[in-house]
Amino acid sequence: MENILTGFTNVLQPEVLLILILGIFAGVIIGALPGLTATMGVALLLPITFGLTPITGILLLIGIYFGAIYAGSVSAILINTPGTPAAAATTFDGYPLAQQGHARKALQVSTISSGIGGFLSVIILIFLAPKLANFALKFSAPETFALAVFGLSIISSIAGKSMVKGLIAGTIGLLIGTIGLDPISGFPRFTFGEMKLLNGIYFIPVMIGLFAATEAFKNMNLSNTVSKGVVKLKKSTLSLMEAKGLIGTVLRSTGIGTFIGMIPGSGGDIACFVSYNEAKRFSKNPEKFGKGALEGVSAPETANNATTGGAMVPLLTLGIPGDAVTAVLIGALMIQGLQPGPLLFQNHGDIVYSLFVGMLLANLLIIVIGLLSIRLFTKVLAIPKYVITPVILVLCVVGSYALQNSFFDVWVMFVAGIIGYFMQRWGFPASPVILALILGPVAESNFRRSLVMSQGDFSIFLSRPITVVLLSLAVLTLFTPLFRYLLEKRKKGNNPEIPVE
Amino acid sequence: MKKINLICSIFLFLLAIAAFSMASTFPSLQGSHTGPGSFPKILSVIIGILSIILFVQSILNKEITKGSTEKIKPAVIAMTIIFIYLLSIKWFGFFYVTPFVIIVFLIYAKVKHWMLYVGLPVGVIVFVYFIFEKMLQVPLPNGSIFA
Repeated sequence: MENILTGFTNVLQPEVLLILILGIFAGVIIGALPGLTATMGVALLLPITFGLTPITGILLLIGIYFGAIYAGSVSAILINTPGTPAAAATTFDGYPLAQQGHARKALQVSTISSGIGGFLSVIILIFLAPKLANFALKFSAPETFALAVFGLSIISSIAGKSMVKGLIAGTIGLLIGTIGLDPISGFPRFTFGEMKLLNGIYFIPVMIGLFAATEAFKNMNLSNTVSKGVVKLKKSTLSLMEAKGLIGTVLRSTGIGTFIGMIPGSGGDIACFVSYNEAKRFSKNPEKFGKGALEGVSAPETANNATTGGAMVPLLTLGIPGDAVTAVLIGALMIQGLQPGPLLFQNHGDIVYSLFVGMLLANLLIIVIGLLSIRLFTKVLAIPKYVITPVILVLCVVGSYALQNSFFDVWVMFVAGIIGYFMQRWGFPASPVILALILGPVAESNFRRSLVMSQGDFSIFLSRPITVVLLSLAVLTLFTPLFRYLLEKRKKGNNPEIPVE
Repeated sequence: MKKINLICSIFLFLLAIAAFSMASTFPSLQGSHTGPGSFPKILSVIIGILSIILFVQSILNKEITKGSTEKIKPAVIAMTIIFIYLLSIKWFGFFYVTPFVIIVFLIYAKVKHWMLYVGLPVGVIVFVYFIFEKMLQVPLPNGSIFA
């Protein structure tokens, strides 16, 4: 208790609060721009912390981290392009809501959900950190494989109208994920002798192409029409009734996000999909998902910000990063003379609790800053398509290049944009491709590592409790929509919808 | 849409065969049950099966997705402009080519406000320069002519 009070005293200083707010603003800009990630933002701005005190330096980076994870939803909702991978699932319902004129409401839901999810995950971090860290460390290759398979099984939920086309898109994504050096043997697969393909196809340029560039190509039809493609904004705000209806979703998604964030190597990009799927499973109106359901925005946004607190659990208690950003934060802590791990609490308890208080404040500030900025964000919708389209395409090019300073990524984005346009035209969903690109390599490498661990014995996947639970959930998740789909087809009888040629 | 589905399913089936054939040439690891080719082969088989299902569904008119009826020409024009843009960046650099590309899009959209032809390209360039080059220290391509 004394430590927490010390934390409040340390953090509630004008200069500390100012640095935190600046960090959040920088994070919001970075997160909202497709192609820039939270990891990139934290890594690039880390040198600024050299001249700052430990508390201000780390809180600056935490502000950037939390702000970026939240702000990915802004572009996801307004222009159907996730600003960060963790906002990929937010596009499913956020963008339809914006198209229906409810952008303000969607942004309110994402802001409040992000802030609450992050806030609650920090509370969990403060009170349960050591116990949770030990549990997270039980995750080895079989558990990580099972978690990845569980994530992949969500493809059946996001496949849209055609299950077959959705599964095809997902499997193609998995196949694209095998391009490059084999993770175990280092053998080059499907590289055709091309050096640039040795590192594989990075999923972020593909995501930018499939979401942003595709949307921009589609917008060309509206660019020279009378309406100029401007969406009329309705004066809808989130009502108390609607907010109450999201409480269950927020609490469940906080748990999912915090848990996934704690597992080293998994973060918001997995949590958003898992949380979306669970929200749909538990929803009274699952048919509304994909068409503008508020739960469909709340679930992924709560979960992705909840991973921030979860990722700090193994970092601070064991010195093991929970995700890519916390891996960079280890460097930041060490620069400030703080060795992450069990002794951190003993040797620098005041700083640790100051960081906890700072994180709580950061999430509250995100709610305040986010809600105040909604009017500014929604002005994007008033911009005619003939202005937005070239700007988006230029940002796609810049964002893809900025990832790895590689023009190859720009070409990947361009090709993905063209493919995405025709996929959309022909009824193939794009989201399973991204999900598969993210999780496919994780699933494959951990599957093969598990077999190395068990010396070829497949029973390793059935003898570990966490693995069994996750694989069972994966089977349930994969086949439930399929059963629903077949039942619906049966109900429609022998008169299925005739497709339009 | 039926024709498109049939063509897609045939293309995907051929892709599956090609991927399987290539994966079969990957070496297996000694003492290991799975090699570099195992996962791609499994995926190729799955794609092959799914493409057959799509083919059959299309033949039987049971494939229910509706295609888009939007005109394709504007999108193809945008793709062509971006293709030329990307080729030009390599020669002339990002900051010289980008304003021209934005102006081309505005001309295509028959924009009449002349201020946009100046303001939008300048605004985009200044924004990108400040955020990417100055704040994030990401050097953008200069092009081989001006390098």
